[in-house]
Amino acid sequence: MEKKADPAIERYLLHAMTPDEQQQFQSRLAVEPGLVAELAFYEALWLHRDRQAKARWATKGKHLFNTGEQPQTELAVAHSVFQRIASTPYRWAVAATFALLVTAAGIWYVTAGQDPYQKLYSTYYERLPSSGQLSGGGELTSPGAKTWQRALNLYAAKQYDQALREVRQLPQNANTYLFTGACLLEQNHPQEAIRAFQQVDRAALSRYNRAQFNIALAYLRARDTENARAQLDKVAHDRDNQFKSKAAELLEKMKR
Amino acid sequence: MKITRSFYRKPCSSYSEEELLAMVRQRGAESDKALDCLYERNFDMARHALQEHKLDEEEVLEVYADTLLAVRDNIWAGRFEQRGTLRAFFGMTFRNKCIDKIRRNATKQKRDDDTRKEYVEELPATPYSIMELQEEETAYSRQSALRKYCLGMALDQLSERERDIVTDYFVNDQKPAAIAEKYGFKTSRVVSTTVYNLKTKLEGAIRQVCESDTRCALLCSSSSLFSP
Repeated sequence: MEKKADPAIERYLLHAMTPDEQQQFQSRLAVEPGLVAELAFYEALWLHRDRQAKARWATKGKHLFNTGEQPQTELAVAHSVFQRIASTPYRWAVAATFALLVTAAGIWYVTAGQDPYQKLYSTYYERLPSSGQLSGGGELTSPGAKTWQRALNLYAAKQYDQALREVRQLPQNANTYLFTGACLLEQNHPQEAIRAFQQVDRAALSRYNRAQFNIALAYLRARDTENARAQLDKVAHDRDNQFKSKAAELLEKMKR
Repeated sequence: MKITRSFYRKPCSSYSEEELLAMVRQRGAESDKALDCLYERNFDMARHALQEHKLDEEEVLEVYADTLLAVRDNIWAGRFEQRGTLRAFFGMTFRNKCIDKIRRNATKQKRDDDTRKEYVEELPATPYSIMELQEEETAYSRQSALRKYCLGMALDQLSERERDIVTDYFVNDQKPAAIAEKYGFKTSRVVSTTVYNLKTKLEGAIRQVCESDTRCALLCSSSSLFSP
């Protein structure tokens, strides 16, 4: 069905016809009864539309007269926005969820995405082996072996608090210090982790070496770059340390 | 975007005149919004008119609304050439319309007084709109007013909802889907059928009015629509 009116009708209704157009339109009306009917139809609808607008404005005008209200300002709009939100709780919930998501994404971007030292830490940090002995310690064949295994299992399951409780039942040695330090570092307590790693005795060389490297990473995690560099330098120059190449590489990356 | 729009409505004060003009020219919902803004922004003129002219509140509001419609038609017809500001144009149109109304009130008062002298006991039972069109000064404006009166009678044969639906479709250029949502129709197809039926109904009503009332015969004839 044709929705648009004859263009001449609109020009007539807007009183926009030139004298020539008026004459042409009048001639058409004389021979086209359909055009006469169409004109009346659209004229009626325009009349209704104008009446609608006038009724709407009359209500608004009375309100403006009665309240002496001035045109809306930004503040008034903010108030009406608040009222609209309050009257539509589901929309409020959607908006709140959206705002939370945006905030969370922003926090993630700032904390994880943007910190190069945290990236280096994540790249170089190695979790402890999840089963068996940490390294070469015959002492784990002792009666505490079951406790130790439980602690390792809890560590693997990332239940660090419980893992620490288990390991505290064992006699303290290089393995337990290293393990404690690793758990604390996973829990993002770098300073406490450093203290634990520092207690690993050099006699247990492989664990000592790992602890030394982990100390550097813990400094990095604590954003203490100066001490991290010093510690990495120490590891890189330790001929017996199996992490010396990694330490040198990390130092190089930190310089960039 | 829809959610944002539903929460935030730009205040009328933040639109420039150019923006409002562009919105009026767009027609449809944007035009309505711009006209509502113009109504609010220039309302100080209505307050001023209430104090300055011998017009009551209702008359001022009527003239003020007529002014807005005239300004809109001028913009649509391309007669507003932006030589001055839109506010100045609005103010000038409003002033002219106020003067026109005051003059018509005076004419009406005089005629009422004369009528009262002649027919003290027998006042004519004519509809108010017909009384109003008698106040029109030229033959052309009387004819325009009579056309409106007759079309009003035809429109009255449709319900308010029916009038709104057919106007939204044919004049406000709304899509069937939007009309379906607004008026609660199941599908766009139902809307298309309904508006077709309503068009037929309104055309029939116009035909009936012009056949039943001799004054309204001009709706069905090609008699001159233009001022000489």
